[in-house]
Amino acid sequence: MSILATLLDATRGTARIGTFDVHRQKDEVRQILGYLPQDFGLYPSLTAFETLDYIGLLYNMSDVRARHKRIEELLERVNLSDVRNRLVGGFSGGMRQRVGLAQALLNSPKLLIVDEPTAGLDPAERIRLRSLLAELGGERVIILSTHLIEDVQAVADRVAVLHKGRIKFVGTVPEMLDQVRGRVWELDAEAAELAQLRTRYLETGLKREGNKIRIRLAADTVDNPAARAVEPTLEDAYLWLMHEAPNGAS
Amino acid sequence: MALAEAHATTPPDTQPRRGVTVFALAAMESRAGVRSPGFRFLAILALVLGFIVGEIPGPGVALSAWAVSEAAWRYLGLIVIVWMSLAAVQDTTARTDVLVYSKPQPTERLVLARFLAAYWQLLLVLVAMYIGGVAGRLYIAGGLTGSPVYISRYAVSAGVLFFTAAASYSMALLARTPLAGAVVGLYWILTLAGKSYLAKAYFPAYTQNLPTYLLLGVFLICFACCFYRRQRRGRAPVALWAVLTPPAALGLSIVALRYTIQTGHDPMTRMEPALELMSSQNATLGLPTPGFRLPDESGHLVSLADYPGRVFVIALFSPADSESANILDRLEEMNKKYGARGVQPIAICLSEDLGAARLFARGEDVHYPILADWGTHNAEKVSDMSPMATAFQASTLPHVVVTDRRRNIRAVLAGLEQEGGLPLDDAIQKRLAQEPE
Repeated sequence: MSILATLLDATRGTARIGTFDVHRQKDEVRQILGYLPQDFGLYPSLTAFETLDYIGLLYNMSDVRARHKRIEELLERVNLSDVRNRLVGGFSGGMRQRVGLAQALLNSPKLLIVDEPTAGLDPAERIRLRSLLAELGGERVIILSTHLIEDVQAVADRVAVLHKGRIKFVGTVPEMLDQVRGRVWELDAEAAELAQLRTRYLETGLKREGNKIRIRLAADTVDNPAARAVEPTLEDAYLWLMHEAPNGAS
Repeated sequence: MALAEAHATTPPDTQPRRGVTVFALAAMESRAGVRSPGFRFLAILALVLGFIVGEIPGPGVALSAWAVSEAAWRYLGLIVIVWMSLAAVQDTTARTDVLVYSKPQPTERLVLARFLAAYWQLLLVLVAMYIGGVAGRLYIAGGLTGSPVYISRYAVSAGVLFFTAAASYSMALLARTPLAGAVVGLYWILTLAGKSYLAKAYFPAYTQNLPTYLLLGVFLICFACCFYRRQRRGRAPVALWAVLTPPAALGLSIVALRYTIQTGHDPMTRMEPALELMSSQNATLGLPTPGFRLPDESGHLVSLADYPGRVFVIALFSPADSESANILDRLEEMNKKYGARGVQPIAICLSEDLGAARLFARGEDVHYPILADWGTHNAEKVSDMSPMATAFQASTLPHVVVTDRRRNIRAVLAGLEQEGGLPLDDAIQKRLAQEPE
């Protein structure tokens, strides 16, 4: 993400955004890019409005009236209008993320890169931010990096799965589910059986229901009459791809 | 949505434009800075320090302004080094760099804006220090005669701190660690401790060295602008000003340094023959007083020959010894009392800083010349300090000589230990009794 956001140079290979080479045409890329990093700081003694005003200057938005109008729109959109004059130093994690998102949108970017936007947020903030991203996706290209499957399910049209720097899968959400369709099983097991099941099959979930343990497995077949095939989830598909798929599978 | 499609839907009023100035960015950054607790603490500290050191009585404010400016470079100088070293890496430690450096601003503009914002805050802290000094002076003396010298000393302090700020900021920025600012800190401590064994040209705090160090500061900051995060630019070239300024500033700085050395008098670098001649004289009771030709506040050379037939009261003092500067008040008293009867006081200021004499001439309410002994170099013994101290064989300051109308030395008075100060009145009255107009 840092490479695409022009903050890091790639040690090898190339990256292009549209027609621009990320390594050589950094200024051009920055003009069309909005970036919400995973870990970022804000000046604690600036208000939300001032923070965005400062970022607006960094985007070379020299027309004060247009800049302020845009800031007001974005504050409204990320639901921070009420606290526009409060110092961001006193904001919660979710509010900070929303300021972060607003700053990334300030220049109406053609490409928005969001890196783990919901990490560390409480469920309410996570849902709010996810909805915002889903809304924004209709207007521009968004690259969302996340470890949370719910984020992908809510927002993504296309998914790429990266493992140790290599792409394991690229495709739509249904296509990703197809990777594991017919290979996900559930069965009720005794505690003593768990160790054996885990060594033979890929475990994708486990929950306790009363005295029983319901384990979820991913495998072509499961050698147990109690096992029944179930509908796959993205989590199953993700774990299957991490565990199973050779490089470049799609 | 494809990129091309998204491009078409961008509202025209939010298309990025060129033209945001470095000052607009700096103003926003300094707004964040001045609200920080660190800044407020520093401003209050400076205010209190200014009050304490500026609380000096006397008819004029010169000594108070001098004390505040000394405290500014000695104490605030060290604080500035820490402050600027931290400001240089603040983006990285606070993780604001990922937001700032992913935006379409040239690196040199970002670096310069951050520096200007931090330096602006220091100027405000310096204002607090001088306000403290003025308040202290008002509290102890109730008057501000000669107050414009506070402004001129403020300008000098701001210049000195500019160099300190630029050096520590650039070092920390390029090394990417605030510890690099410690190099400047070590240099600062060396100049604080090494007054007698370092050449005067090494001291950024002296008025005559300001052009050299200001230009050096400009060089350092522009150098950092060019080389910090070089890889961030991609194919974009460095701004022309950032390319051209460093060599120009460095070149001019060297020229200024050479000029200061070539026109100065310093046992470590170059001795001026005229001053060597002055120092080779020997003041002896009953014989003609050592002659001199030294600049006054406007730079005009003044000698005893400019005042034919006068009884001279020549006093050597040093602002480094604030007690000795009290002699200026006594000289003014004598000037008022006996000036009309042909008595001419002349004060000679012993200071490595050539701006000191001018400061005392303008900041004290005096009507006689205060001359700069520009050959002064700090030494353990007063008589080794300057050509005039050597010629007058001064062992303590103030050192006062009273002559007759033929310029022969008739009385030598030194120090302020005597009850009621130096018996200047007696010496002058005796002279006038023997040589009425």
